[in-house]
Amino acid sequence: MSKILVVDDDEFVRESVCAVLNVAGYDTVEATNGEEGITLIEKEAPDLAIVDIWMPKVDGLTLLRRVRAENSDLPIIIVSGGGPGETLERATAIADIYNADHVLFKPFEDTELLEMIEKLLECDQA
Amino acid sequence: MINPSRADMGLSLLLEQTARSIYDKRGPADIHPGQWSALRYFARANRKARTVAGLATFLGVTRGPASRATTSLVKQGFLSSEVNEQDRRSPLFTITEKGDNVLKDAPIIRLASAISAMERKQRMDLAESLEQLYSSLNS
Repeated sequence: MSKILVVDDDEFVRESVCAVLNVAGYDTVEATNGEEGITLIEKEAPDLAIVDIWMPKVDGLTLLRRVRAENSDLPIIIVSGGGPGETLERATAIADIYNADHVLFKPFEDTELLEMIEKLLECDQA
Repeated sequence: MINPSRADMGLSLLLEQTARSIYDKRGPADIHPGQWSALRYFARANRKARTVAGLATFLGVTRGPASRATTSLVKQGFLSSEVNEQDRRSPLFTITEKGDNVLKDAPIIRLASAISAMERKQRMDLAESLEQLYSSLNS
């Protein structure tokens, strides 16, 4: 069973996403911010991470940069919505520079998320 | 404020001219830089996010300019719209074949190709420098 890390500071979003993933047969681990996410990537070795772009302390883009700086090719889906500071256009460009595997824009359908995960895990196992 | 040296002024002008030159030739269609951004958004966003509100969030603008850019792209045949069953006041937009084709010749592709020709280290240094400059200008 593939293990997916869900990193989001919003408890409701985290639980909703995990519920969808669990029903689809994935094992999940949760982190409430980027710092916790980085720790869980090292400790739990997930097969894929779904990371919110805007979070307090360590945001999704910083997590992405730090993971890629370790030469990790962990599949990472960045979930983006409106937030403070820079525009989403700019944040998306930064996510592309640091090789996010996909940027998912809010709002999204559960099926869109699941299709994306399936595709990325297939590629990763190929 | 620090008084910049002539060399730093030169570097700034070079950066400004480089950015301006991307859209010197508008390419195959008369599309403005903001409309190119809108077109790129609709080409990559997942279905449910392909709305005027989604575009406004992406660009960091109000709904007015996002709506005007979208309407213009629909009129030019680069986007098509359909009724959003979940919110009938907010149509969903899809890129047309014409829109898809025009994106392949977008002015930004010339810049991306030039960047692709650079060494990896040069590209990463450029990314770092641009991020730093943008942060300084917008802090």
